Amino acid sequence: MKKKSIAGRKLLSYSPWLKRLLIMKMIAILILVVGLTASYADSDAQTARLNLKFTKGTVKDVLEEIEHQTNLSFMYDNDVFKVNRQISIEAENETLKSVVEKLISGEKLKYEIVNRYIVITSAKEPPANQQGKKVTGIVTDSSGGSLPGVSIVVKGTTTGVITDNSGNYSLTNVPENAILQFSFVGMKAQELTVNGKNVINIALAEDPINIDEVVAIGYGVQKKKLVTGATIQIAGEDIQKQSTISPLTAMQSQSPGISITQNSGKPGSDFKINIRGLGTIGNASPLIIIDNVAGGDLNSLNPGDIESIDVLKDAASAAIYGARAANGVILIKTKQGKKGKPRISYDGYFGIQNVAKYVDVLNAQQYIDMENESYKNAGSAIPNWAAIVPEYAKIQQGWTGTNWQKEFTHKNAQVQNHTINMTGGSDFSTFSVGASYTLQEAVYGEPVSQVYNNYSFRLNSEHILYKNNDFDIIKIGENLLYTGIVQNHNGMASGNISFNDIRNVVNMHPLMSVYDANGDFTKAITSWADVANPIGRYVFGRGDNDDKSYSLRANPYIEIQPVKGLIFRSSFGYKYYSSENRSYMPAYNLGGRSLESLDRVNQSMTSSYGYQIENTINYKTKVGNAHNINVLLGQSIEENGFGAYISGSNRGSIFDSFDYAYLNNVKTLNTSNISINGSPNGRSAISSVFGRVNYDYKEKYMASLIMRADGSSNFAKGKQWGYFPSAAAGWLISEESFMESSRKVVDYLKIRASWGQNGNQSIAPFQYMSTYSFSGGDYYFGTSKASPSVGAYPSILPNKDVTWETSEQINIGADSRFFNSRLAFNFDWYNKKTINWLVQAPVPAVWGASAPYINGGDVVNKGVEMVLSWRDKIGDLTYSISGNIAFNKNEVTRIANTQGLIEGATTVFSTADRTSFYRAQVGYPIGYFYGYKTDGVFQNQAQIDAFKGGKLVTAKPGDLIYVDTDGSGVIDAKDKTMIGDPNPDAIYGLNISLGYQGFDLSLSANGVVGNQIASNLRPNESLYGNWPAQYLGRWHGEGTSNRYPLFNTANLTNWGWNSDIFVDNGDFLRIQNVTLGYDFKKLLPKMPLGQARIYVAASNLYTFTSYYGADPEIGYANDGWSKGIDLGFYPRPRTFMVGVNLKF
Amino acid sequence: MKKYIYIVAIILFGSSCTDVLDTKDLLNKNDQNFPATVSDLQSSLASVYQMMAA
Repeated sequence: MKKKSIAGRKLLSYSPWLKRLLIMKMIAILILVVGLTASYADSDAQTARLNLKFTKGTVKDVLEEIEHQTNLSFMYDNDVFKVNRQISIEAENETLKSVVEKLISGEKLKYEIVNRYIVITSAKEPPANQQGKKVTGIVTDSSGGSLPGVSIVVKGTTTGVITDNSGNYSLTNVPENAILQFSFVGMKAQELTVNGKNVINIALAEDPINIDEVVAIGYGVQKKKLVTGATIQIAGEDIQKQSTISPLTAMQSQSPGISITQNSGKPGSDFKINIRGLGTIGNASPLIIIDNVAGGDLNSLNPGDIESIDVLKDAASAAIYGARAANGVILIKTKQGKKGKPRISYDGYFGIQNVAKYVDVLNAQQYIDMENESYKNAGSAIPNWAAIVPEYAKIQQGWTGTNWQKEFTHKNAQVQNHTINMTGGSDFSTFSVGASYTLQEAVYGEPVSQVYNNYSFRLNSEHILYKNNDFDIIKIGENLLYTGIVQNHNGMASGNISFNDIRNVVNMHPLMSVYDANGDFTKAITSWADVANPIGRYVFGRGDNDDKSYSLRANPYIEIQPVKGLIFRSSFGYKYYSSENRSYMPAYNLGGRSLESLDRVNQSMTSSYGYQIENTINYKTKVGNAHNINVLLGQSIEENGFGAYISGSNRGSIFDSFDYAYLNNVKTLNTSNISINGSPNGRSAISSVFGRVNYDYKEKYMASLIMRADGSSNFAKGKQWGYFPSAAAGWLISEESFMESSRKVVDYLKIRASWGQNGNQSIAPFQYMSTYSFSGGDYYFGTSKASPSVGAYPSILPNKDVTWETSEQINIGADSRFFNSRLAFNFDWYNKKTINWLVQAPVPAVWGASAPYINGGDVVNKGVEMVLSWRDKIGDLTYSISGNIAFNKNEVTRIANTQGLIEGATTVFSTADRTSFYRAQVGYPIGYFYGYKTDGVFQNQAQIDAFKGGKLVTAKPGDLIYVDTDGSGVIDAKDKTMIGDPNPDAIYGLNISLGYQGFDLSLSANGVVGNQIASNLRPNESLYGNWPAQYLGRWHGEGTSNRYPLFNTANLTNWGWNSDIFVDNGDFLRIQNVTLGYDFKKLLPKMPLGQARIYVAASNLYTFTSYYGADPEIGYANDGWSKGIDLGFYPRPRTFMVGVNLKF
Repeated sequence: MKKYIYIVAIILFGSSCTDVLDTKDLLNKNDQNFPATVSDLQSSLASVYQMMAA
C-alpha cells in the first residue's frame, strides 16, 4: 500500500500528528476512490482466518502478509509502532483479532478497525481535558454527498478522528472554545470554532488546485500543473450533467477555442468541430482518439460512458500525433475501473422535445397579396386565384392556409436516456462496466418521423498479474466498447437546395391543405406542376427506411514494468463497423411532375474494420532531488478501411410494403430499373515512430520536446514520410521564493510557450496516380457502328509530389489562480499557419481530365483564448461562475492558382445569379460571402436621376442601389466584393452553478459574435415559393424600406443577384441548459443510497438572436469549408426533462 | 531484467515496417497497371476517336 511507503520513507519532518494526518489524507483518497462500505470490511475483518509463520521477520513483513491475506491495510505512525523490529510469530487459522493482538502485545499500543484499515495507535490516552465535551456531526461535499475519510483535528492538539462511511464523526474531550480543522484531499481545508456547540455539520468545498490532478497528453498523462501546452480537460460529469444526447453538445459551452456545430437538429446528426479556426479547405476535423485508439465517433458515444475529454489545441501538444494533428486532437477516456466493493449508479432522464422556433412565413392572404404585388410591379395581370387554387373559396372564408412547418412537426417528441454503470475491483483487478440506452424522436417528419435508438455497452478492466512490494510488474487490461444504432424513418433530406425537406416545408406556398377529403396527400395545383406537397414527397420518397449500424472497439493491452519507472506498453486496437440499410419507395402520384409509377426497393450493407498496433516505452525518473525526467519512445502501425460496401436497388416489388422491401421480392430484372454497387472501403495505412521528453526542475521549470515521424499510404513512395517536431517550455512562477510574500493573493501562476509542426494527411488516396475512366469514352469503330468499343482515358492528372499539409503554430499562455483559488484566469495567444493545403486546383476544361490535388494554399489563424472563473461560498450557498471567450482571425495567405482564389459551388444558392456565394481568396477569411454590396433602395425617380456614380440603367424606384465598388461607372460582376464573413470574431461560453443544502442549480450558455449568415429560403426563380415574413419589410412605396427591394416577377436584378440583402448578422447567445436538482440524501442521510438526486432540466431553452431563421447556428455546409449558409435548416429542438441520479 | 529489455526491444523495433504503406487502388485502372494489354490500348484509342468525333 502506498501509505506505508510514505510513512516509512520519512519524507517529512512534521510533528507525528501532522504526519498521521498526511497518512490519513492518503487513506482518505483511497477510501474515496475505492468506495468501501463498512459492512464489507467488517465482515472481512471478522471472518478472516490467517495462517502465518515468521521466524525473525520484521514486523513490517508480517503486516504485509496480513494485508495480503485479508485485503485489509494497516495504518500507523512509524514513531509509535516500530515496524522494523524483528519478531517471530506463528498462527494457524487464527482470527485477525488474535494475530494483531499478538503483534502489538508488549507494546503500549492499541488497534481499531476502521473500514478496511487496521489503525494502530498509542495506547496512551491523550491528556485528559476535564472541561471537554463531545462533538458530533456529518461532513459532506458541496453537493451534499457524504464524505468518508475526512480528518478532523482539534487545533493545537493531537486529538483527531476521521469520518466514517456516512461522513459521520464523533470527537470527545473537545474544549468549549476549541477550533476544529477539517481536511480532505481534493477539498479545501476548513476551520470551525466549536463555541459550545455539540453538533457541527460542515460542507467542504472542492479545491480547484489538486496537486496530483493529471491530464491526458497522448500516450500518457502529465500532472496538470506541469503542462506546457494549450490543452483543456473536461470531466465526464460536467458533460453528463447537461443531459445531452451527444457529448459534443455539452462541450459547446465549456471548450474555449473549439467551434462545435451540429450539422442539423436531426437526431444522430453529426457535428463539425474546428479547433482554433478553419485551417484548410480540406478536412478540418480534429483527430479523435477513444481509449488510445485513433478514429472514432465521439457523437455517438453516450455521455455517461465518458470519464474525461482532453483537447490538445496547440501544435506542440498535438505533435505527438504528427501527421493527423494539424486540426488538433481530442482524447476521450471512457470510465475506468476503481478498486473496492462494486458501486452501481443509474442515471436516467425522460423529456419531451419541440421545435424551438419556426421560420415565420406568410399565410394564405399575405401570400396572395404579395404575389399580386409582384405581378402588378411587373406590369402583368394579377393571377385569377379562383381558377388556379382549388381551395380558394376556403381562403376567402378566412382560412389562413397551411403552415407546412407546423404540419410537419412531430409534437412532444420523446427523448430518454438510461445509463447504468458499475465499477469495482480488488487490489489486483479492477473493472468498469456500463450499459446505456438512448431514444430520441425527431421533432420534424410527421407522420413518419425519425426514431433514433442508441445502445451501448462498455467493459474496461485491468489486472495486475505480478507485482512486488513497490510496483506493479505486469499488468494487462482492455477497453471494450460496443455501440448499436437503430433508426427508423431516417431518410429526412437535410442537404442542399434540391435535397432538403425542411427547405421544402419552409418555402411551400400556403394555398393548399396537407390532406384532401379522402385523407390522401393533396395533389399539386394543376398549373403549378412543380410545386408538389412537400410532406407527401417526404413520406413517399424518404419515409420508409431502416438504418442499423454496429460498431465495436476493442483495445487489449499489456504493461510490463521490469524496473521501477520503466514501463513497456503494447496494445492492439481493433475497430469493427457494420451497417445495413433498407428502404422502400412506393409508387405514388402527388400531382404535376411528382410521381413514380413503379415502387423501388433498396438494400445496402457495409462492413469495415481496422487495427492499430502500438508499442511504447516510458521511463520516468528523478535525477538527484530536482530533475524529473519522463521519456517516451513509441511506434505504431495502423491500417483502416478493410471490408466492403455493397448495395442494390430494383423496381417492381411483388409486395407493396416496406416490411417486404427486400431485393428478392422484386422478380423482374429490367436493367433500366436495377442499380448495383459494390466497392472496397478504401484501405489506408499509417506507420509511425514517435518520442517525447518531458523534463522539469523541481516542478518549477518545465520543458517538453516531441518528435514524430509518420508514413502515410496516401502519398507516393518517396513522399510518404513526414516529420513533426515540437518544443515547449513552462515556468511555474508561483513556486519561486520571491513569490512567497504574494502567495496570499496569487496561489498559482504559470507561463508557458510552445512551438510545433503538425500534419494533415486526409485526402482521397491515390491522388499521386493518374487513374483511367472507362465511362463516356466509347467509340463505334468500323462502318456498321454495331457495337461500341470501350474507351478509356485518364480521368485525373497525377501529381506525384502531393504531400502533407503542415500546420505550424506558436502558443503563448498563462494559467493563474488568485485569492485562495477562488479566482482563476487562463490565457492563450496563438498563431497557427497552415501551409500546403491539399486543394484540387482548377484546370481549363481543354485539359480533358480532372484537376490534380496540389499543395496549393496557406491560411493563418491568429487568436486569443481566455477563461475566467470565480468560485466561493456564502454560508451554505456554494457558487461558481465561469466564462470563456476565444477570438480568432482567419486569413488566406496563398492559393496556388492564377486567380488566387477558389470558388465555392455555384448551385448552393437558388438565385438567378448562378455564381458562387462564397469563396476562399488570398487576403480574405475562408468561405467569405461574395456578391454585390448594396446601399439601400432607390425611393423615388428623383433620387435615381440625381444619383452620381455607377447605377443600373434599368434602375426604378424600389430597386436596390448597388455599389459601384470598382468605380467603373457600370454595375457589373467586377463590383462584387466581400459582403459578409461566416467566421465569428469570437465564440464564448458561460457556466453558472449554485449549490444550497442539497439543491443544485446550473446554467450553461454559449454563443458567437461578429459572424454573418447568408440565407436563401425562397427559391428565387420559382414564382410560387412562400416568403419568409421577414420580407414583408420589402419596398412597396416611398419610405417603406431601405433594405429589401420591391417584388417584381419580371425583375431579376433585385432578388436574383447575389447581394448583401441575403446576409444577416449571425450573433447569438444560446441558453443551452438549465438544471435544477435536489439530492434526497441531504434530507434522508440514513438512506442506503450514496446519492438520490432528482432534477428537472431544459435544454436549448432560449436563443437570443436577431436572425430571422429557425436557428442561427447553421451547421449545414455544402463542403468542408463553407459555413453559415441557411437554405432551410433543421433547428435544434427545445427539450424539457426530468431525471434521476442514483448511486448505490 | 535484461530479458525484459530484450523482449521490449524486439517488439518495439522488430515489428516496425513500412510495407503496410503500399496500398493498391482497387477501383480504378491507373498508370501502374494501365495500359497492360492490347485491349487496354484499344480502349485508349477508342476514347481518342470518341473525342474527335464529339
